[in-house]
Amino acid sequence: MSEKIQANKESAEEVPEKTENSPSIGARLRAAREANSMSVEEVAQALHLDKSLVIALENGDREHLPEPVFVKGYIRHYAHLVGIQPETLAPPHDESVVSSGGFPARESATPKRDFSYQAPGNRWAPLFAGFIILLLIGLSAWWLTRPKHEAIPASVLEKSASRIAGTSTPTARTAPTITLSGVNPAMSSSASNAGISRMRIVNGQHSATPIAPLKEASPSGAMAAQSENSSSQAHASASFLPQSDTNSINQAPAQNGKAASSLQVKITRKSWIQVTDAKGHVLMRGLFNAGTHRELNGSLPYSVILGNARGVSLFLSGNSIDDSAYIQPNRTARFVILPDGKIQP
Amino acid sequence: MFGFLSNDLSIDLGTANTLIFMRDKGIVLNEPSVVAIRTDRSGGMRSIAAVGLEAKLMLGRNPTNITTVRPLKDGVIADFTTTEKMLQYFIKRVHENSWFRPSPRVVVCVPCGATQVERRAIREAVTGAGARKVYLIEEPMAAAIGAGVPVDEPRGAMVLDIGGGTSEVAVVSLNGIVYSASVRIGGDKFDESIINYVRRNYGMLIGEATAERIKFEIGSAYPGRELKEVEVKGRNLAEGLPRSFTLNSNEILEAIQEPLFGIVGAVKTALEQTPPELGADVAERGIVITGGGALLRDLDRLIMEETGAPVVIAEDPLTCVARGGGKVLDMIDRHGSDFLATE
Repeated sequence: MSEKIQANKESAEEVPEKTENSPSIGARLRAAREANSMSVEEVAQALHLDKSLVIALENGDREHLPEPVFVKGYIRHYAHLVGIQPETLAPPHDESVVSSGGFPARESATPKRDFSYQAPGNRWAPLFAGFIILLLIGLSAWWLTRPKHEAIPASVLEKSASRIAGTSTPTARTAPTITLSGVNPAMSSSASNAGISRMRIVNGQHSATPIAPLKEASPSGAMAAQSENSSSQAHASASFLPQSDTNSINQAPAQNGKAASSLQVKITRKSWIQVTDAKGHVLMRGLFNAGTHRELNGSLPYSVILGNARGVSLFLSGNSIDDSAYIQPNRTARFVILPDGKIQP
Repeated sequence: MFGFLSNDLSIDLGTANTLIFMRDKGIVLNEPSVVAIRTDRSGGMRSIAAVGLEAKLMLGRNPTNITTVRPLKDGVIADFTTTEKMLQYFIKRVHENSWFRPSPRVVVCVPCGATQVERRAIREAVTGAGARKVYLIEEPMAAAIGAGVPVDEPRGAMVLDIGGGTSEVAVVSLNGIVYSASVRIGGDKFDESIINYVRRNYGMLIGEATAERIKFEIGSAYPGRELKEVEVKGRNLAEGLPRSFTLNSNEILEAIQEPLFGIVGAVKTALEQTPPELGADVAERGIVITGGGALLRDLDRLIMEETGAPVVIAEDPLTCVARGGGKVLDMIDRHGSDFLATE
């Protein structure tokens, strides 16, 4: 300890020479102390400090001084003791004076977990928020200006379709059908109208070619057309028409297999329904209200799940399917419709 | 939500003054903890007439329908609703430019002598004032961090925080409080002592505001400086009329002896109770004084002479606690919550 003090004293003698032009705080304190003819011991006693600390203070010896908060306090007391205005030494609240005056902050000499303020990480937060708000505005603008027809629900289509079909042909009301393949209801009704008109032409001209569009339309349409034909029967074509009719029915399964595998679903009570065809395509799924009629085209066999089997009637190519064996109260009916119209679990 | 739209705050909810430190901005508010409440003529509705400095000017000068309240007493909440309203007003004021309702994270200081109930009350009041998250920190810890005392070292450092209502003394080391004590003596007690002294010796009645002014102008804790005098006006108790008289600094020193020695006693007890290793550190480096009480002339000298340890006054002692809380806010993000007080 005494050696250290000795060493400090030696270095102390060198310091004033180095900093003669602009005397450090330590040098000015020492000069004032000497002017007051006080010893280091006296100062140390008056300030209740260690002698080594007083010497370090005078020398600006950063290694032996504590943190700036203490050093500034020591300087203030020391200055007061030797009759210097502390404010002339170091203006308060100025860290730089303490360090430039030979009392660098120990923290700056040996950086460690500093408590100095660091810029927080949320500087980009307002920008980010602005971006999100812009994005939201853009999305809502798109939502409001997007084309409306995309979002018209199927049930609305269905209602309008049945209304159109009902008004156009009274006979069609018995089986207002919509193909699930997304055919426009207007088109289907016009198709049935076209079918009828063509049949009338057929009656007049004895031509078999117009049957082709009939096949495209639903078989029920064909049936309706047939019934109308038979009611407004012309004597000359009587022999021909049944023939062409049977042709159309016989040709249909042979050509594309659609008509034979078409499944009609009529719903009389609200029910959950799922129909899947052999390829795994889900033809119909969801909760349907009473009065819904659907025609499904797919490849047989169909596997069917009915939530309320009592309220659903199934027809395969116009033939009613007997599912009474599967109707149980509060149970879901699950069965498979085979190509011959029979069902199995 | 919208937390990023408001800055995190550190609140020094003091008996005398409330200070708010905001990230990036420093001390943004320093107002007296005073609320003026206006009661409706019919006696029913109560509304806030003024908060802060404006309300303090009304203190002792209010008509009957306005009452000025200091909602904190001895460092803890005495009037919960008023405290909540006051904080709400202050938080809103420091967020003046915000479009949205501010919901900052808040570090708030509690006296280390506060009970569980008192801590809970402070937390609830700050939450009620709109804080998103509330962290409690013990006042001397925040004061030490704010003063720049290295609290993370394995060396003891003693902090004495003299506030308006309480004085806290603590020894901190390794980010924690080793010893802490709280005495319910602070700036208010000095004022009270001055009022009592004047009444006893001059037969005059002076108000709190006058007493505080006397303390600022001529108060000192240690004899030996030049004698200062101040002219004071008060009401003569015998005549019942306003009279003016002169007080000098020695009289004030005499007047505040009792609270002064309460504080010195607390420091001495703390030194006694501190483990010897830490006590040696304190004796070597010194005691740091923070808080408004540190502005009392020669208080450091008194404690230095009484304890024999060097005593230093922190820079800007009034704002140490709030600044310390601000630094803690930062450190919560980086180091977790070593410093925070338990409820």
